[in-house]
Amino acid sequence: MIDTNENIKKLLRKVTVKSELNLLLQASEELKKNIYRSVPGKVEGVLKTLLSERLVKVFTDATALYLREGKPAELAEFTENLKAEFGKLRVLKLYMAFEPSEKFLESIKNWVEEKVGEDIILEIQEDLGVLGGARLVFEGKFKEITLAHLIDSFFKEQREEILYALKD
Amino acid sequence: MSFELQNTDLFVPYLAIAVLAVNVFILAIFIFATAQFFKKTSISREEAGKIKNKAHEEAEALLDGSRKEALKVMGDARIKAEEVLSGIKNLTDDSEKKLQKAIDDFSRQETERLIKTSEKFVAVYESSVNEAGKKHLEDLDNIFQGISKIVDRGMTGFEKALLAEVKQSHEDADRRISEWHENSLKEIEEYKKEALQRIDGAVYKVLALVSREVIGKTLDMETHRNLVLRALETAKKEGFFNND
Amino acid sequence: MQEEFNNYLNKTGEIGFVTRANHPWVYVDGLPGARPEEIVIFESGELGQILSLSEAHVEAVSFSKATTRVGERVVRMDKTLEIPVGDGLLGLIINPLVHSLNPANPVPVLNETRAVNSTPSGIESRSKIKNPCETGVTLVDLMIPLGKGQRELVIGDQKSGKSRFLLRSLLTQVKEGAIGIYAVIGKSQIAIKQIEGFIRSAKIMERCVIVASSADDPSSLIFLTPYTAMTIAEYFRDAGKNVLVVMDDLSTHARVHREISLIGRRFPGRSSYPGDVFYIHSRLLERAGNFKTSSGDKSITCLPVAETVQGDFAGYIQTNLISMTDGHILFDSKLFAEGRRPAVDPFISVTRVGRQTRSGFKIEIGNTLTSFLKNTEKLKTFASFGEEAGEHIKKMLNKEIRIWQFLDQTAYDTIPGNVQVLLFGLTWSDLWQGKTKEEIKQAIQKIIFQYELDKDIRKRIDEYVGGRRSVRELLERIGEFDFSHA
Repeated sequence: MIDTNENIKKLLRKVTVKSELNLLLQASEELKKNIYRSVPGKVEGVLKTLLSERLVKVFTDATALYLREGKPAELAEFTENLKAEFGKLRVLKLYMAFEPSEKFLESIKNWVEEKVGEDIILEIQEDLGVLGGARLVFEGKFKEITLAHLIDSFFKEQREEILYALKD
Repeated sequence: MSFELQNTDLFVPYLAIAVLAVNVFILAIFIFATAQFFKKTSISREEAGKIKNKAHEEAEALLDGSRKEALKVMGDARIKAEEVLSGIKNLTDDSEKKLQKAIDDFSRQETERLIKTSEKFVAVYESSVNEAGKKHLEDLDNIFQGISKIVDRGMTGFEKALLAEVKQSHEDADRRISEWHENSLKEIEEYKKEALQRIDGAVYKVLALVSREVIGKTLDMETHRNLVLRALETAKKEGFFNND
Repeated sequence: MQEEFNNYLNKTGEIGFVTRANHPWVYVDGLPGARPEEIVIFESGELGQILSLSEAHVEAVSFSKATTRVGERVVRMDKTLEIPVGDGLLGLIINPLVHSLNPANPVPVLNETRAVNSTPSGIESRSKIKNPCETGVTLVDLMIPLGKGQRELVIGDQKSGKSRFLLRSLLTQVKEGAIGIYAVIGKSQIAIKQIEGFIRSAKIMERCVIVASSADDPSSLIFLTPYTAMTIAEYFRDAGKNVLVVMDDLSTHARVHREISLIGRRFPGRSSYPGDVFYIHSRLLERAGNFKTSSGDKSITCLPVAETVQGDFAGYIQTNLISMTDGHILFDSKLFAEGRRPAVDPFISVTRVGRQTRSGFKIEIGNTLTSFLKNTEKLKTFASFGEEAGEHIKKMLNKEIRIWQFLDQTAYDTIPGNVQVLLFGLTWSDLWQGKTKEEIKQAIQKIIFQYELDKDIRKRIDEYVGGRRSVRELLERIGEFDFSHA
């Protein structure tokens, strides 16, 4: 007996960003379509075009059990539950001044899981205007803890002193 | 029964004959009466014609007579009128002559009188005109002298006023010029200040931009990563992730 | 615009993203602290208003003509829609968000702002309607009188003379010292221009405000128009002025509300109007009335307009408006076609509170006219049978013609109240019996012009009319009235 929920949780733990989630959803839809076709290599080929190498491995690990044991109905249930679980996830959007590496993403994800909760998925957007630090958007709330904001505030508050210094 | 039948058979024709006879008799009477009537009518018409003719003749005679009478009366009247008219004409001629003479006399007299009167008027008029002329000349002379005096006085006053006015306008012009000068200096100062402020502002903006550019580019990846994590920590501390 | 957006973003600390847009509706994900009727600002600088909240998203309408991009950021402003108000609005033609429609004449900086949607005042701050509201239109002033603070519906087909009557009423009231506010709701640009043209040519623009939305504006903006007009009226009332507000027209307003509701997938009710179509008008009209203010009783008189189709005033919106107003003036297109101006049917028109503002004398005049005209209407049907009418009936019918001629107001913008009474006296007293139509017209013209131009005649007419207490007194010496100059 395959525990679908446990399977899904394991899968989700390996996913860091929302874009990956969307791709996994697409992949599971693709799998559902091909579930009754008897061309085994074809599905893997499609998955490779959709997902990165890491994700292909993650996904096939999660779904291999169903395919091996020949449980198409439970595979269908898996994809439906996956969609439902994706919907329950809360998104933390981060605007950063650089494109983070996978390792860094992992470290952020771990921090978030530890400090905030396990049902959180990241959405990363590169914005050079940030300069450093990050802008956070979480459940409709917004917070700017960036270098750009700091510099702007500094210049606003110290305007007179700066102008005075310029004259000297 | 048969007797009655016999009588009845004969009665009807006899009756018819009787009726017929009566009708004929009535018709005869009628015809006779009608003839008489027409005869009388024709007679009376003839008589009427005669009477009419007679009357006509009498009337003509009457008319003729009266016409002749009228002509006669008119002839007499004409003669009379002519006599009267000729008498009047004589009278009119006389009266006309007399009237004409009277008119001529009157007009001659009036003309003489008018001439005399007008001569007197002319004389009076001439003398009064002369007197008025003399008076007018005297008045003009007085007026002229008066004006001369006034003008003399006025000229002096005018000169003085003119001089004063010129002096005042000089002073005003000087004052205005100095005001303009001051205002212009003030405006220049303000403009300078504004310009300097704009320059300062521009310099300030450049400074801010340059700072952003420089700081943004001088950070290394390690610093970036630390900043991101620090941002997350700060947000956590400030309760950003709490459900309010 | 970006700066303003960022300011509110930093102030509220909340952000939303547009997930779906169906102009003017916008569905926003985020904004956890949003409230209904709160104002939001889009990244493009355009404003919107939150209309409802659901579990999944916030539903708002945009006031922008351009459609909203999906993914656009939205920030709430932590306040309901407010507009700047002040004396600087006088003489301007503005849109419902108080932006000037004439670039050469911008809106000045105004210190005070007021919420567009406000709760109407309660009973304790209201006062009985006591003062008459002259419209300058004889037929209305004598037979269907209005009071200051009254809500009188003007209803009729299009092109039946309603706008002309409204502008004349505005002219009369502004000349008496009131402030005039004309709300043009969803009309064509030409119509707006014509209204502006009339007000300018009458030289009353400096005491008027025109709040206009044209037919090509977004429906959310058209919807706001009468509320903005009423908010500005409330400002002037509190500043110690009487105000006349014209809302032209509320049937278009109802249609726009229906459009917005149907696009927002609200459940349609009768004639596809949403269930709250009565409420949107009643809460607007309840803001008019006669109020106790610090400077005494001040009124907001409201003349809402409803358009009918082929004289059907039993429609849904029309009956709604009739029930929530203090009377109605019905414009009949058949009378208009017959040449009657104004084309008002005085027998069907109603005024519920206007008569209490009139003296017994004026009420008597109104009743005399109404009953006489009603009787002659009945008489006409009898007289049309073809029999030779008696002398008495002929006299009555001729008098009726003279009365309609006296009530006709094609040529004159407004006729002052005392002149109306004097002309009634001259018409009623049979002094003009036997005169031709042209002679009566000239006589009326002469009296009106003399009243306008000759101070002495004006004084005499005012004294004469002012001193009368009944129709009998009015007619007693009217024949001796001297119209010659002093």
